[in-house]
Amino acid sequence: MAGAYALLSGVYLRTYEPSEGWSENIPIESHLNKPLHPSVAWLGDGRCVVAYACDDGIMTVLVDPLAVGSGSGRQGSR
Amino acid sequence: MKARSLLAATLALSVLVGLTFNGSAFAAAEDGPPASLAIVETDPELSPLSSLLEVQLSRQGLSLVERSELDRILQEQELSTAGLVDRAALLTVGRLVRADAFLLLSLEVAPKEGDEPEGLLRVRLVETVHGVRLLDWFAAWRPDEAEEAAAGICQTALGAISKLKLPPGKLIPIGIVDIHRVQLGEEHQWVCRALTTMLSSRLGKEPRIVVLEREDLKLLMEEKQITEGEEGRFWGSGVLVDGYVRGEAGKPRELQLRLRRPSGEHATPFTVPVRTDDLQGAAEEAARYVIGEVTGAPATSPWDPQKEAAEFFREGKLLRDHRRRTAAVPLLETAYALDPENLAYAVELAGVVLHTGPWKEGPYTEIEQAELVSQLLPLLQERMREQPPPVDAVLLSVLLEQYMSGAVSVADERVIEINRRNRDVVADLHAERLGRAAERRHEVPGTVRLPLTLALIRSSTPEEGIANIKELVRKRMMPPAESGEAASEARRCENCCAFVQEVGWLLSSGRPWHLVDSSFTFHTKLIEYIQELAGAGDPLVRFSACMVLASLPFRTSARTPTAESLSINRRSYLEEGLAAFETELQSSDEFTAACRRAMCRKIKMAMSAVCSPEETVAILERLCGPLIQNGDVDALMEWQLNSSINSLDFRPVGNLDRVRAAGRAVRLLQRQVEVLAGRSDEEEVAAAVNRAHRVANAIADRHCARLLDLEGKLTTLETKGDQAAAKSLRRQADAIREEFPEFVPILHAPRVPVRMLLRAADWPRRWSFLEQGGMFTRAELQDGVLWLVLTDQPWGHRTSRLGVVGIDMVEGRVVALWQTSCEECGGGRPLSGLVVGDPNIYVAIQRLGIMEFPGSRVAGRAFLENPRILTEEDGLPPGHITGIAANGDRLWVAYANGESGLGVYDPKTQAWETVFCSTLMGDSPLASGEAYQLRELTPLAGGLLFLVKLLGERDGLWWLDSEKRTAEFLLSVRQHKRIVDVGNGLWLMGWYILAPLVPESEKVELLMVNSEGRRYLEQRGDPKWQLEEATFASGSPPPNVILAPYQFGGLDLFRGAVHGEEVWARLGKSRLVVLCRGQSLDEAQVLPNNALEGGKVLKFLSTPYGLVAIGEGSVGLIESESR
Repeated sequence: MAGAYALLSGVYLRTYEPSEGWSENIPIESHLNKPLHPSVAWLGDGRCVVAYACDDGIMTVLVDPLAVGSGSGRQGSR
Repeated sequence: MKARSLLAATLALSVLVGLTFNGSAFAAAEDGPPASLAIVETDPELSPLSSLLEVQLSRQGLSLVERSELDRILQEQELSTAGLVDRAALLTVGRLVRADAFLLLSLEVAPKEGDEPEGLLRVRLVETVHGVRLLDWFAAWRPDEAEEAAAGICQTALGAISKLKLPPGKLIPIGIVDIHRVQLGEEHQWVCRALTTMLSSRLGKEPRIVVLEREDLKLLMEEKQITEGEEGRFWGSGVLVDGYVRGEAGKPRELQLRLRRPSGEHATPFTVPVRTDDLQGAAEEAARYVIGEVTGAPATSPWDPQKEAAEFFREGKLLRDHRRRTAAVPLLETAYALDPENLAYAVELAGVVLHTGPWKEGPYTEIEQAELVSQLLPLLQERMREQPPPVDAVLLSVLLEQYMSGAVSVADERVIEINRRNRDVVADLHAERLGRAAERRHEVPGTVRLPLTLALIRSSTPEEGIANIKELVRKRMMPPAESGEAASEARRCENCCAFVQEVGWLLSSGRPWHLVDSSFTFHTKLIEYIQELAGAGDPLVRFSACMVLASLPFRTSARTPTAESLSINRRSYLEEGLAAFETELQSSDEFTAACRRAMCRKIKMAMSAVCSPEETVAILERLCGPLIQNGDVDALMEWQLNSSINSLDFRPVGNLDRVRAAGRAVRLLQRQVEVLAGRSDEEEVAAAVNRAHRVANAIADRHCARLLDLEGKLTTLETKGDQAAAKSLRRQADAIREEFPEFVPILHAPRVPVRMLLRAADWPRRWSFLEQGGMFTRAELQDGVLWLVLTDQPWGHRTSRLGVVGIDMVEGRVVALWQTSCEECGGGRPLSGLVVGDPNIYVAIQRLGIMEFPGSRVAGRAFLENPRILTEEDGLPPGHITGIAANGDRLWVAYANGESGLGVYDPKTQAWETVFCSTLMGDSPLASGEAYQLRELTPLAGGLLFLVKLLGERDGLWWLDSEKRTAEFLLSVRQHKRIVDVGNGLWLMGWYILAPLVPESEKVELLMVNSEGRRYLEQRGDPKWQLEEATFASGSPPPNVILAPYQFGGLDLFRGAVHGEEVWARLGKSRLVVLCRGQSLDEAQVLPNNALEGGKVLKFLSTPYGLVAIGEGSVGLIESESR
């Protein structure tokens, strides 16, 4: 909330931030069951972290939305 | 050694003091021959790894059992390698091959192409005298990194292998039976698990100790059954360890350990103090005690907790990544316990054990989860103070917000109590983080969004949630006279609009999950409260509440109460809100433009939830009509009418009221344009004018396309004498003519003269396309005969029609007409190639294979019930056929499934010859392991031109030298494009590009292209060909013409053609455009798209015999003079 959003659609998520706009699709773990409710926090250097719940616990992903468009995909995950 | 894996989660410990360890014999004494090892892989994919390990381990002086010898013994014993996981089989085979130990390699999870390139490799070292497992270790597995994997295994295994050289009686088996908790809550269970794991790992480091895994432990506990011989002596020398962690009130926690022999003798218990923040200290002290007692000497191996923690973390994370959550938990707990200041360990542990929803049991109970959060928060608070906070701290804070918004965080009274303080800490961290983010963006903090989020995080029950929201509304939304605290009316308006959005989101998404119960108490109470607000005296509060209620979801939802379930009349709330806006808010001087724009957005949002398109248009006329009349440009810009109208769906156009509403919407846009035009020197206003043109044009175009269809149908109905049906259609047609009069002259312009070559009725089974479902073609010109393959993709049908027609272009007659149907041939672009030959014509259907039709010399007309389809069974590679092209009597065939490539296929002999394969490694990027798609295979003298997709930097146009079989990259081209060649040159075509390819001068001429098209042609890598500007049309296009797919009202280059000095293309659904070289687009001739005897042209092809128009099952030759 508060200006930053993330949307989940199947095995992709997209992030939104007013100054960055919507990111490209960011692949997430394809095996996850029912990934839900993403929330996002911006780090101030253009990157963000996204957390979402699923049957395997709570997943967190470090994302560089600008790099996603160039095909680098997921930047890192925990 | 990495014996941690022995420590299955529930092991524990005990030892007997003063024992003499009698001679159990391991294979080789310290000064004897080297230890002998047999390496066994249970998966053929691991053979290269096995070979690499043989080399590396033999370099370390180990003796390796020959594979052939092992295979021979296995065959004699009628065993497979997989059978060696059985203890008895392993001991037998071990003796027969004279191996001291087996190194078993198994692939627990195989790597998969694409999503999961990394597999899970398990490595076990089992000695063959007693069958004791000395190592059980997991590593990531990538086939292309076998050498690195071998080096890692070698390093890890050597520590364990050294134990094979101990003289008889020196190795001491220890079994950790259990460490349990006494007088401590379940939240301390993880402490017991972590202590067990750490102790086990620490003991395993000692050269003389082997820690038994569960199965071996069972043998030790049943030692009394083995009373004779060496086997009995070995197990009799073992030591069992068990103990507990105790927490008596007022006393420090302590770990007490007991050591005992399997025979029952036991030693005096040993006690170690335990601090949760230093579990590794306790484990180390306990381990030293056990080592001293068991070996009679001090510990000899170094113990580096941080290094150990990193290894536990690596293995735990690896297991979690491979969905071994239960196995991962003790490892991640131990990593965290060994290094509790490491945020990455905390994040991973929290991620694996915390949950949001109540739908599935996790490894921790709700209490354990809440306690873990309490334990993690001080570290998080400390690290979040750093500037900037570390990434892992932000990750953990977002993760904990997720947990706090889940039902698990309020599972019962005790959990609620534990989390009450945690909630405040998480909310404070959230506020701090977002405050900093707002500061970075130079935003003024203070709208209602953040306080609302925080209020909900802080709430533990629905009642608390509602009370917090009420307080928020009072402070931020109420006027000062009602004790509101907003700094200004503008700020209050901003808060109210944010409230509508955020509360609307809660009510549609069912959030916040932690306040939701099965009877929707929170959401129902929230709606009741908002209904109260809808009766407020203050117009802004009343407006906001009405907009929330008007936007409520209507139908029954599993997640939230709905307008239907609560009998809420959304429409009446919309009217009440509109009344407040029109009478009290719209003209108030106290609001800024941004405020009014925000209020307009809320109205539009509510209208989209509750109104039909005709109702929406009526409201927009009511609200915007006066603004147009007064020439109020600013207010009109606030409304953003274009987007409101563009989002309306005027289908079905058969509904007369809806047709009229569409006409009114277009007129409203036109009236708006007249007002805005006065200030079109302002960039924002000019953009709005442009957009209004496009939106109006697209609506009118869709209706006129419908009118064309209706006129065609009317002719048929009237011919048949079906007057009743004709009358209804006539009414629709009249309504469209009346509403869109400016389009009618275009539709009634003289038709282009066309000579029909094929009619829909000529097909063996009459054909009319359903254009909205998609239509696809491929064409080839051969010896004066134009061959076309057509297929459609009927909406909602699984069966597509497919036809091949040969037209003698000299005589203007059809020579062959073959038709069939196919199941499931859909997909984005079902036709991937056409090869005309003798004795067969081949049509590549991407998902099915290659379909055979009678050859080019066969004349006739027939519906083919079951044409032959060449597939994997006929020698083709599995997967999709992405392109075909002629190669003498054979075919070039491109394919893609997990792997992709190109080959030469002989349909007669079914022989396949690979030219490139992504997984057969070579020098070319087409053989680099990365999958791709080859499309648009186009044979030219000496080779083959084609497009490559999905290869990143190297996506684009490529050339294959057919003799040398080498491929080279020519030019970057992204997104889907077609290469068309029907006798008038080679063309690269896309929605935004029309460009001749000129192989002899190695260039692509950009004849027509827009900025979007240029983006797809941005060059990367090292292109061999050049792009050259060759502008066809002059000037910039007028506002109502855009290069875009015809479905969006655009000038569609993808379906157009350059013929002589003209471009012919579709313009939207209802019109055609003819543009002469050098003209500007606004000089272009616009014609009705009914050239094919009233039917639409779907695509143009330029041939040496004239301009061909392909329609809905029909084909015509354009005969206008200039052709």
